[in-house]
Amino acid sequence: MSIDYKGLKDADLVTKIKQSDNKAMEEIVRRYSDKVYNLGFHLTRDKMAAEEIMQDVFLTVLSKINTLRDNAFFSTWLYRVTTNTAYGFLRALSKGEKTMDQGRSGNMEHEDTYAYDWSTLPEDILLSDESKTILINAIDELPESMRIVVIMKDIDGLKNEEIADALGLSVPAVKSRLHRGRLILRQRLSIYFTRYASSTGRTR
Amino acid sequence: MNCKKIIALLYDYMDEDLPPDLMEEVSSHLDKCKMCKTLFHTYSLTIRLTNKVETLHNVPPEMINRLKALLHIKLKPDE
Repeated sequence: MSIDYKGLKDADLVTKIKQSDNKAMEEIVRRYSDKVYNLGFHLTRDKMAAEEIMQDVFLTVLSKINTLRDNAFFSTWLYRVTTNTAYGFLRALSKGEKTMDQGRSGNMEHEDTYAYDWSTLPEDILLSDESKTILINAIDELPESMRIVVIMKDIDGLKNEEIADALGLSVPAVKSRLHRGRLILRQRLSIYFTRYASSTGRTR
Repeated sequence: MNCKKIIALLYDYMDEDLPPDLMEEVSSHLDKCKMCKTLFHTYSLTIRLTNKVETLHNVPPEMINRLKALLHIKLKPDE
């Protein structure tokens, strides 16, 4: 009699991992390694750090799984472990200090970013390598409290409730940080696209 | 309704998570105010562009192998 691990729910796999079932652990790795790796990468923007984070996270799963009381909350717990591990890395890289303060993001009101509707620009310009770089730098420079929710929600596609649980925040707090982060990103993109459009005579 | 209030309500408006009368008020303001309309379009597009930021998708197989090797050291042998 063999067990179909792929057909089991997370909670059932966790029960088995608690009983030292290696195959259950392998299935959890199969299900979550991409998510953990991507989240680690997006938070640190470093592939080597992302790999180390992923390794640390799954080692933590093995050593701390017994502290998870309700097996149904495994994925939330895993995201919390991942963000905590990534924060540890950022602190070690002292990259965190740079983004912990308000950074350069908050002070750009001097340019009018409501005048030109750049959403009418063609896709190839909106999705150019240069505009992607602008956006990625803008995300990197967000204050950390906003950066993490923007990454978890708008890049990694987690739900507000999952983010709230993972970060120990209320859902309204998640929404508020996300909204402020998005407004800052919008402003940065507006400055870039408005300059681009006026330099190519598109704003008239 | 003034433009400042629109900025504050934009998130919930996009999620259609406002009471019907407020949804209606925001909609009618957006119809009249070009700046807020621009804000609405570009805010939505910012989210869409952020959704497209590079995702590595799959962990490279050699990385998975290293992870598994590491975990196997910690795992108790199968009975």
